[in-house]
Amino acid sequence: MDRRAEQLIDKHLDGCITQAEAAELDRLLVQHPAVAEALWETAHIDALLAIYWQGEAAVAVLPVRAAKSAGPARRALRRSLFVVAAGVLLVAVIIGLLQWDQEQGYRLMAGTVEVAGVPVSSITDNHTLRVVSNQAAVIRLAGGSRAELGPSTLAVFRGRNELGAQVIELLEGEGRFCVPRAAPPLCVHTAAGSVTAATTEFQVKLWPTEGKGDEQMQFRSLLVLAVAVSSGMVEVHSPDEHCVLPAGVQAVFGAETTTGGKSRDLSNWLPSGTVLGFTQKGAPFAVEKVLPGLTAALRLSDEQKKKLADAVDQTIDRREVRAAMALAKLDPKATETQKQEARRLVEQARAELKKQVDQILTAEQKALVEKLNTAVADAQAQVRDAMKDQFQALKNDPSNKEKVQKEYQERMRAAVEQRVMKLLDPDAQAAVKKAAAAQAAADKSSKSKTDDKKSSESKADEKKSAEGKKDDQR
Amino acid sequence: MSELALNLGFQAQEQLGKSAAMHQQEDFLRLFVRHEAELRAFIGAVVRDAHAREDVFQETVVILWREFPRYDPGRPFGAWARGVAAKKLLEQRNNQRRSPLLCSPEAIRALADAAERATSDKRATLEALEHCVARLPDRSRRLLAMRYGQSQPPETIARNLGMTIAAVYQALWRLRGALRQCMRRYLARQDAG
Repeated sequence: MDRRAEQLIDKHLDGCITQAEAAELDRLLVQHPAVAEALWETAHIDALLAIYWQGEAAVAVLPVRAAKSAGPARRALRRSLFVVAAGVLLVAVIIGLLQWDQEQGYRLMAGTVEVAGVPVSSITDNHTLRVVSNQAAVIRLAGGSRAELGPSTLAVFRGRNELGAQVIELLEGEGRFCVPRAAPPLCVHTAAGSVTAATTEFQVKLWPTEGKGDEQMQFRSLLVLAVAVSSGMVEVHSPDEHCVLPAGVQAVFGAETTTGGKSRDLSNWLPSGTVLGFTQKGAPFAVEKVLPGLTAALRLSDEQKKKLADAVDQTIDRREVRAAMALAKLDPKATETQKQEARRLVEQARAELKKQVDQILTAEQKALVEKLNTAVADAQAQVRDAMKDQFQALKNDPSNKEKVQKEYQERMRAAVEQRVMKLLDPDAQAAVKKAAAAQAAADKSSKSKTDDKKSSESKADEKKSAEGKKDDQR
Repeated sequence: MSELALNLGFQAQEQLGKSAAMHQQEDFLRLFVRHEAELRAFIGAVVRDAHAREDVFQETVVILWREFPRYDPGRPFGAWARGVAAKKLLEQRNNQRRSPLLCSPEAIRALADAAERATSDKRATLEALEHCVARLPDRSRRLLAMRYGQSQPPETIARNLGMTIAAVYQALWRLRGALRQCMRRYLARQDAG
């Protein structure tokens, strides 16, 4: 690659490329794979540098001061990936603090709130307020942040914490919070955990679980905290975990059940192939991904399902096992001994699950699992063989990759269906079809819910925008 | 708000009842965090305006999350995420011509192919970066910290460090080049050793 291409890449990455130069670089990218590789490599270094320095800032809270020795840098890079993500958030928090315009106070924009039973028009720190109107109370915070507290919500505005973030204590109810650029960070504190955010929009809902819901639910925690992030990202600290949620994610905290206390609608629940002993190349295999509903062929009784659900809860779904899975796979600062111990715990849980499943399934069901495993493997081999030329061609021309993969999946599904249906009696065939239809309906409903939510959010945004314009006009 | 709250409550109930949803969330976060730098690099290679870049990144993450139930774990997550990002970039390119987007569809594809060919171990790459940054003079490290840690534009850096803007650009080009060479050497040594 020549110096000219390097110059164009650097100019582009520094945002000072002219239109003519951009067109030239575009042409070079298409014509010379080496130029595309160089741009990728440099952009990758760029992204890593941002993560590196922002991680460093998160550790040192002194983003500009690079240490003379390699010590702090080494420490920064040894942090877990979650801490790096948390670091990015912290940097956003720091930037938010630096840009804070020192504005103080709150302004009630809409709705009615009362303190100690008396309606108030202004909000002051450290007084418990309740939203009494049927509509949400909209409160503007310093720097332009907004809090929309739902009807009957109980909250206390706590001023700023030691880091300068505005703190709202949510005692009960729900709120939608928007923190624009340049506003100070916001911390929503609840008894089930706290949410810290800068430059983001998120929703928090808190509700008590005592006396509500299924009798089988035995919550260790009395409060459930649900967090949904619309844009940006938030950091959540709950008594049991610390995590960063990116935009588009919703999560629930503080709702851990006691052992075996999870509620499942057993009539519709189907264990995954990974639980029932389906394997591929010796590893647990979610066979239902190839042919939806296939695990229904085992025609598990409700009692078996309950036992299987309990077995999963008591083995691979235990909190410590899930934590071990995460540690073994994710945590770069874990020592080899810790990782070995984590793997041992996971293996132990899997072995225990296998043992329990072995006792729950009948001999006929286990034999059927074996037969289905063989049929799926044969179908896979057949389709791979039939498509080997297409896979070979992909090595030279990967542009058809998606098309070939889609064809492979479709042919696999057809081949598996053809083979396994021959092994099943009519009742089992009907059970598989019914389960597949139920799965498809559930997927469709889930998609529809997502679309509806998107649509309602879009409408809400439009409404907000229109209201904003009205406010501006006023 | 009530409709959103209902959704949220529904989501909560679902998650309470089904550990699969929690696992899915964990799987997504695990894969996402592992590939975040690559995804940012891919988008950053095309969009240079910081705000537009962040918007594209966030919109891509939302789509990745929504589509995750349909993600085939047999496929590399990075490639899938880049595919989604590429579509978003093209959409952005068509909708917002004012955005400083570099690439034609063909160039975006060339870039995606280049990323596909580059088999980098994130941890090893970060170690290489750490090794090379630690060997830079203090002033260079300070320059990088201002540019990447604080996202300061070259104009501001020039003012703060008493340099000309051209000198800042020049220094950044040299630094990136030096880091690239140093990291290649480091990774080659690690592979050989």
